[in-house]
Amino acid sequence: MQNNVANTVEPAAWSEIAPAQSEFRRVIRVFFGRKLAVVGFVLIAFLIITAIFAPWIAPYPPNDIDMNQTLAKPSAEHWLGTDNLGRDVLSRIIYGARTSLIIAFGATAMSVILGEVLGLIAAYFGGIVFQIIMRFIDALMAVPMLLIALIMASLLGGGVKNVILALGVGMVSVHARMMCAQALSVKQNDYILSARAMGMGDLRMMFQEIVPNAFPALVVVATVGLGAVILAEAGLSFLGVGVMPPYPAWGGMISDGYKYILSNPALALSPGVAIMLVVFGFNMMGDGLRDALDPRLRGIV
Amino acid sequence: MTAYIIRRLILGVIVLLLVTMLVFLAMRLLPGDPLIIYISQSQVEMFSPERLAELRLEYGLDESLPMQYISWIGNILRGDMGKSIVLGQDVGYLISTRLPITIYFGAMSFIVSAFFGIIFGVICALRRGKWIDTVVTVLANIGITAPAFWVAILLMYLFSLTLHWLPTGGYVAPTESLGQSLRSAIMPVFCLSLFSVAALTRQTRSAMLEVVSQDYIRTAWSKGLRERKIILRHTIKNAMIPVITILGLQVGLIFGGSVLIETIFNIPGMGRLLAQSLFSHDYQIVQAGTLVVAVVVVLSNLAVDISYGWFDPRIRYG
Amino acid sequence: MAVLLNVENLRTYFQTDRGLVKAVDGVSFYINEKEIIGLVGESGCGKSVSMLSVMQLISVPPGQIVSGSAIFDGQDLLQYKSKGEEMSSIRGAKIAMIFQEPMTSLNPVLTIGRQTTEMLELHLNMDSQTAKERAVELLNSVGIPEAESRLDSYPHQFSGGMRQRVMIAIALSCNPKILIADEPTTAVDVTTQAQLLELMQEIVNQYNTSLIIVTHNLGVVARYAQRIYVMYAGRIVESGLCEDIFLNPLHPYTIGLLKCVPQLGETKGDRELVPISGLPPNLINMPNNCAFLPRCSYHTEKCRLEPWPELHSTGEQHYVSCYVDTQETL
Repeated sequence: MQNNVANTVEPAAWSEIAPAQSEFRRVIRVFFGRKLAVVGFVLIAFLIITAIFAPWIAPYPPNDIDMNQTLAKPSAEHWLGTDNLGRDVLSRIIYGARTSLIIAFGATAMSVILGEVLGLIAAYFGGIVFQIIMRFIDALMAVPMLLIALIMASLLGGGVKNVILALGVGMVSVHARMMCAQALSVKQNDYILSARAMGMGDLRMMFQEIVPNAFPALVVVATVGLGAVILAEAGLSFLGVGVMPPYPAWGGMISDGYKYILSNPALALSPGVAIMLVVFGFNMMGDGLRDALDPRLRGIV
Repeated sequence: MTAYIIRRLILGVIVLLLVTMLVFLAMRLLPGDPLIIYISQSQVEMFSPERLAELRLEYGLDESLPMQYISWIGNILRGDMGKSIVLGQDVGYLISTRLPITIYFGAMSFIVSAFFGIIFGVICALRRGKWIDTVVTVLANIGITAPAFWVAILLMYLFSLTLHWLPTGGYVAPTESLGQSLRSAIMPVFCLSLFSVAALTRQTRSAMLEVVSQDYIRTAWSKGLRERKIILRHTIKNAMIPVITILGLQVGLIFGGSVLIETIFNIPGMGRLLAQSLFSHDYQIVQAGTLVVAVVVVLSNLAVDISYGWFDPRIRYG
Repeated sequence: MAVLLNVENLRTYFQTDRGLVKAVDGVSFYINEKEIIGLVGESGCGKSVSMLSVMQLISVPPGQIVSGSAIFDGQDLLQYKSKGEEMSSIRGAKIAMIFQEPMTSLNPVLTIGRQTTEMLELHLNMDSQTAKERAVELLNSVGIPEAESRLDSYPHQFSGGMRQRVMIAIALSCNPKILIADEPTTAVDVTTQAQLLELMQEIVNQYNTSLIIVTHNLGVVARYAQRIYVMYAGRIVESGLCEDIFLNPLHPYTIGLLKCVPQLGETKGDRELVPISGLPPNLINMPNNCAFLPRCSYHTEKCRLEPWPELHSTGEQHYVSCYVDTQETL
């Protein structure tokens, strides 16, 4: 702005120069101010606790076969009934939480690291590097995520590690795109020019200036991505390329239960409810984080 | 505008080329003898080494990787997508019978999602805070969490197995009997569009609210324009810009979803074909099928990009 | 001179999660036909909110017009529903407003032509052909070159100054009785500023429109306004004829403002520019006494003890809200 009447008529932001610590407090305050975000947080906390303390919470060991009690309907003894091998459904769901969490965090971590690095490099160096990386990402996006994961999981075989790999690759494009967009918009800013004028090197620039600014978007997308991975993993397990039996996986349980739906509907239906609750929790946390960290992301994320 | 479209087209072609390379490489990463791309594992084990060597020559496996890639592409462009290892039929033929079915269901789902998603989103934004907004938003939040295949099972349990209102699936061509066709399509289409309707509702609502708080809407009010005109002419067009992006993403998601839904509802489409082929190691189909899906996705993304230009003049006139 | 708009005791409060913000807390002003008045004050003093309140453009949660009246054409505007038919037929047609940010105040997806003609079609019932022709005339009159071909252009194809001119053209298209210009020159460079202000004055003379200029820049209103209101922390602290305010400022805030503006003809060293000390007030939980007290160099014990002073006249239309006779202290 220009020839205005002296500095005394500056905006009221003067009284609001916030130190970094109270910024954290503000985020916490806004986040927990939103009811739905709190609900999400509680659900996820519950999930994590269940996963960690599964052996203490579950009424039965998840792989205990009891051929006398196959496909029992829900009862006092077995709250959700049993499956075709007499295993307690509720316990399997509780242990399934472990599988879901490990895969969710594993795949997300992988896609975040790979994707963010790719996006950062593309945006930072621009030019031909940007084109190559972005076209590669476009190619990945041209094949539906589930299909990519399915192909990779089939090629590599099932099992937790391969599922994490497959889903991680499937989600890379989302993170790469997001990071690239964020980095590009940060690059526009003048403080990047001044940092460079001060002689700041490339790596430092990337990690000191760009990444912190992209952080809010990263966190939000990663949180929601956790939910997406769980849904995808369920799909993979349903088709039989996910976690291998006898490890309990929610998607696999639905696939088993599908055949026996008339005998014990709880077998097929309850894992779905579990999935929904978890994904809901992650989504609501994601929404809450977005509003708390940077509401401007509303339109983009 | 034309320059913009041409640029997008060229990009699309480049992306497709990259997809072919990725698919090609993925197949080459298979553990074991590369011959299993062309013949079944059991045959590999059965045949004599001489026979295997013959076959390798026949399928060009002695050539360098780039050469193999080029001949493969050459074949595809000539319409030869290979022969199914398991089913023995021409892959091109198989795909041509399955793809239209998937597109039938997919297009219906896409239209349903777009229509309902956008309308619900607009209504929620306009009636923000009122009970209808709360209810629909909650439903939308739930809609994006429900695994489509699980909903499929649930619906099948309810409406087919228990209430006997709807058939358990299968496909009836619309040309045969429109009524039957639609009846058996209700549940699959519902499952395929569930996530998209919910996602679009959320995105539209959020975009509308974002636009409504903009300065130019305040200007519109200050001009004395009436609410209806402000919404229809000034708000919605702006709100559609971010929504179009999400809409474009739904094509890929619907295709992905069709792998599961077609399997559950026993629909003879591309999705089920791909799932079965992956299991039976019928890599000829997997290769070509993935490519075909990618082509459809790229084309629809192109359509989305072009419509972007229509909605946002800043893109059109740079 | 007939009074066009008479606002009395306007109070607009905002409910925020940090408390109740009394953005406008008892503001009264009036404007006559063919008059230019200035509403001056720093950012956050409530001047924009006052104007938006009169136009009923305040978003109702979290804001609310708590009390007051705005009599225009015999009717109290504040009694109308903000989205109602009556208010809509007044906005644009009788009272028009232009805003600070020309970049974001025009709809990016509609052509300039469309954004101009829709007013004409709505308020003046023109058919689309006549409206187009009239739009071209209007754009020409504000100095947009090649107006006819520009009808199909989009806002992003114009520069900031051009956009502001377009906004002026649109605002005046239906010959409103009052034009409210909210910080019309803040977002443009100096040269454009001067051009826009000249333009506005021309228009006022030509069209018989009264003009309210809202600004934080005293220099802008000095040349053009006949009367000035000075606002601080949601209230009017001084008002009077333009010359009186400049030559004979009474309120410590006004005095402070003038002390830090360079005057034409001065050279460096003639006079020290003295900024007003302290920070702008926090409008939540305001104390009962004078809000300017923390920054005032004239204050007495009375100022601390008594509630915020009422405006009182000191002669010839000059009103001030202060307990101290600043003339004496000089």
